[in-house]
Amino acid sequence: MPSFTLNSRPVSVEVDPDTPLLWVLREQFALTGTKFGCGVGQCGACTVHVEGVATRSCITTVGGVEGRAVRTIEGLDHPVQKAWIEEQVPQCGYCQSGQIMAAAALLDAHPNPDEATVADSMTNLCRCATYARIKKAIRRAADEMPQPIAPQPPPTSTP
Amino acid sequence: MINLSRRDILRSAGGLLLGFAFPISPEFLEYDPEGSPNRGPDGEWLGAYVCIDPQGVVTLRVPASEMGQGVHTALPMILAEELDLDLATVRVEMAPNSIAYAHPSDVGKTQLTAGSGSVRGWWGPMAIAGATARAMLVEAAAHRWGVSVGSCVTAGGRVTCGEHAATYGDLAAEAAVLTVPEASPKPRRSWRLVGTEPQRLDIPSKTNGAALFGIDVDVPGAVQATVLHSPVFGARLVSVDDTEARKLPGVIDVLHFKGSETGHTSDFVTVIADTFWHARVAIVSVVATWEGGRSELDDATIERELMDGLEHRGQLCKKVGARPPSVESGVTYQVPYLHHATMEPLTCTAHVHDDIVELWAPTQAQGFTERAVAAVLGVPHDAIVLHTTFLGGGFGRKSEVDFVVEAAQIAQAVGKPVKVTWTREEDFSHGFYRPAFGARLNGAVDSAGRITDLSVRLSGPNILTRFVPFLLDGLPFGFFVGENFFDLPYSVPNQRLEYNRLELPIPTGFWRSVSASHNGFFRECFIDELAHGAGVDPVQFRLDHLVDSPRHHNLVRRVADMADWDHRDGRFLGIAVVESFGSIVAEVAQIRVEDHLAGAGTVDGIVVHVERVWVAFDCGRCIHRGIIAAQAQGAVGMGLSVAFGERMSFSGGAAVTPNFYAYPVLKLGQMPEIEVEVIEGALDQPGGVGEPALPPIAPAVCNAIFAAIGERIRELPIAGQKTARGVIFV
Repeated sequence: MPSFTLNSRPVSVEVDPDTPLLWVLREQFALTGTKFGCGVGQCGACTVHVEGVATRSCITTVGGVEGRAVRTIEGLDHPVQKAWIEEQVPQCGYCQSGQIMAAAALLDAHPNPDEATVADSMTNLCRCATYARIKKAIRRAADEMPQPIAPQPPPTSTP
Repeated sequence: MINLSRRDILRSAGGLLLGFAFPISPEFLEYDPEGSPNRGPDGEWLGAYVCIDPQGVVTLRVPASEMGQGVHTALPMILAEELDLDLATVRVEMAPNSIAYAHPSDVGKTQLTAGSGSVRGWWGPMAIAGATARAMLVEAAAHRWGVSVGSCVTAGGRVTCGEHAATYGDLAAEAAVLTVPEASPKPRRSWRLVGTEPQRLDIPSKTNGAALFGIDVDVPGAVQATVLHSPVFGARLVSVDDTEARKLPGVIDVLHFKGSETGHTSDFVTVIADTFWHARVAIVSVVATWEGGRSELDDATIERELMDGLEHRGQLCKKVGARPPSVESGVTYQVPYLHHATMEPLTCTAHVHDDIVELWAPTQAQGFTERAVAAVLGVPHDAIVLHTTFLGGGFGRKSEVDFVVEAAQIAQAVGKPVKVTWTREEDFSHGFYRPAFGARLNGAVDSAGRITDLSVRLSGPNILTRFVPFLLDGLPFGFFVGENFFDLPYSVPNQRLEYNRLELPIPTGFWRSVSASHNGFFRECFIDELAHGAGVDPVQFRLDHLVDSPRHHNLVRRVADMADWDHRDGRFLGIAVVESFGSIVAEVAQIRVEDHLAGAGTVDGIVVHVERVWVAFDCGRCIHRGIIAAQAQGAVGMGLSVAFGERMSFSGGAAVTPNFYAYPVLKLGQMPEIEVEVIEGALDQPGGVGEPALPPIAPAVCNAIFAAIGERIRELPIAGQKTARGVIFV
């Protein structure tokens, strides 16, 4: 019986360990914010965090997350979500849980990503092509997030 | 009671006050919630759109499906404007299927979200309905206080008059029993909400996983199912061996259905299980044998038939001028079949119980669905109760009824609620595709740089064949085939348009921007060819020929200014302008071309990068510019995706493009910087918003490629086309 941490809560579930995590989340835990898009890891609509890393849950077995920490959009509380609203990103909205999970993981790893890093990390498909606003929202969230403390310059005398 | 004279008055009010073609239907103003398939919230209904509960919560019902285009914000804005409500305080609800929510256009009287037509259609009726509800609340207040109606004012969900004040919730019961008055919408100068950019009402729920899409519906006791259709189009099911599938975990049943005699569905097999995953695993083990179809059909035969259609004279659709030009010796353009590829695969939940058929579906077409399910299941129309969820993309695919009818058939057979979810592979291989089209164009330009002749021959399937086969010969040709050539904005004295209709077994349907998606490409690339042939700048050449089309003329000038066209300084730019759904859009694309390295320093082709796009969008009266700009950006992105690499492939009579790995949808890294200017043009009514920005991008990019390398791209997708410098990569 696979056991893991789901949105900070220990859970175990009676399913075949080969079952994709996506369907365990949706059908066993009723966490339907994580979406089915392609089933082959191509579109990213099913993106969740496993130990903080953006992971495509349709090609990740539930057995593969044994003992690990899984977070879904329902368990996310991240500045990107506010930025997504401020930049009015979603259109149909179907891919946006996955986009937000991917963006949150990106910013947690790279708090101030350059354009190339954003393009390399954000490979989820959006058929509405909301990409322009996704880029703006990631920039906004990065600007508003606390940045890692940089080495302090040597103290200078105050005038 | 509705009497004809008042209906007539309302019709003329709809026309005169708003300069609008669509009348308001009496059902919008007098509404009986008890007669509705879904009663909605408890409260007083002031017409079909507005319900006020005793606590004062105002529910606004939206008849159009929300599929990303923002209609669940734009239409409530129109109602809230007339009702003097704060948009943030209203509750928005998707309307159930009902004649009360039929699209106001006189065509078909059906509830439908399509053709970039929701704001265009409901703008007038919504304004009158909102004004009418407000007038009833004011009248109730005036009665109660013994004051004149004219001395009452409304703001923030309250009516006030001097010392008197009452909330809408307090007045609703008294208002609801009044005779429905005649009311006029506000004059434009009094608008305080329409034309502003409030936050979309659906967005918060789309950032935390709470938004309910079709695939998220959870009806207690439901079983899960997935479906399998014949790979070969038009084949019939001969036999099913489900022995192995039935042994698999969670499988409840394996059923198969004959295609409906009504033509709404084809033969299919379904596996019913406790979970979708179990159904999905088991359906792979079903051995189904199919027979028939055109197994010789593949990409090469399709192309041959398209090209054959260009070789002989077609139905003459338009002839202008004394000297009908010939299309022979012209240039040939071609576009492939396209899939909608909505991010949400097809899905529907159905439950047949207590003499009703209850459906939960992400559908664009409540009216067609209701009729189709009633016909196939043999039940009366009023037995159909349809709950429309958010759509995870529509683009026309979800205006089809197949996925809902099948779910209803399965539910009727199993006697329990059932959720049917298609695999992505079934979704790709059983679409209603944007048809492939070929075009041959020829033209002549005189020594003054004026186009004298333009002749066009189109070859391709007509998407209407499926709907009205008996009408094809008599139909006005422009419908869904000849747009953008039939009403040519350019002044050309001699014109000829012909069409050869192809009969192919591949299902086709309405795809975002429909025929403008191919004709815009053919026309705007060919106009560029004529400009180049005449030695005239492509912007100037268009301006010279758009003197009788002032909206087009204005946009071409505007977009050229935005892109600083006259100071290209080595930048490679291409322009296109295309009209569709009551709007006009001009776009300029800026591209960069670099060598593609095959490795070891060998160059095997070129890479085209689209760096920037400028969009000038004339959609008439604007409700919400932020939503319009978002639709323009998204349509450019989808159009670019198509231009770059999308193509459905066929072999053995079947679609053989199974999933996204073979159908490259645009990614974030390929998205150019897009600058949109929404121009409120001369038109006093709203034009379409969801589709019109898509058609210009492919020709704008191909014209920019010509500017860069001096070669014409006459076939889409661009990726894989051959040039003197090798194959194009994107």
